[in-house]
Amino acid sequence: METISFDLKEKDAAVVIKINSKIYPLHTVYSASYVFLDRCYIMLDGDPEKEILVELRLKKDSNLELGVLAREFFNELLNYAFYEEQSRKNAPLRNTLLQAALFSGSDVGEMVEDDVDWSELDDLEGEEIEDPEGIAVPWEERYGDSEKVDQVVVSEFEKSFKEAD
Amino acid sequence: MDSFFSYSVLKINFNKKFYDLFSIEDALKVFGEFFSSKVNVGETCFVVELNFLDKEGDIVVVKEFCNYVLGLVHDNRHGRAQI
Repeated sequence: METISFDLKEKDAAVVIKINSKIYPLHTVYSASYVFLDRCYIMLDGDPEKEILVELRLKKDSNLELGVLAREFFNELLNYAFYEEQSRKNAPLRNTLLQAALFSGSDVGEMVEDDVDWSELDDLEGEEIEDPEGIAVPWEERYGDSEKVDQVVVSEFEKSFKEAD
Repeated sequence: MDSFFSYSVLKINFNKKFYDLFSIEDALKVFGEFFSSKVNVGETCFVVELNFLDKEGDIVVVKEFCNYVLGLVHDNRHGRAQI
């Protein structure tokens, strides 16, 4: 298989992966490498237009196997290649949706103002609201002006304080 | 004054086609407490010279530095541009 191959360097606990850049372009390799940064040390070399070399080196006290790591890297490459291909295919639709969302904001506002029947809101304001607990009474209406309100609040506080004792 | 200290120098070659100078310099600032450094621009590589006060130098720090550079390259190319 010439597309991807890897050489194991057991002595140095490293593996070099050779990648055909016509199949997996450089940005795919970057993305796959980024995922592996926490698992191993990575160095890139080679030629981005021909063959990309990725060296994976195990971290100290790592329990991972190099061969498994290399094959997981291949999987990650394929994952990102597929993602980027789908992203490229969906780009026109995504851009259209984005443009529609960004540029139709003012039209949406006008449309809403024209279409809303404000008389329904007036009807709602005229309706009497049921208030069996008597909650919907304004503070001033219940206790009078602000000085009286302060006195009432202080007396109620003292009363509750004594009750607590 | 420098003769008072004994440095160990380590060189890393970053392939120009994969790594950019901004990422290397940003990473060097982050790792500045571990080593002093100098970057030479070669034909195909950025040659980074790391000077450790400790003779041995900590190779783990150097490897983490390389990973950090790669992470920054990825961020510069993809992460910040991708919405």
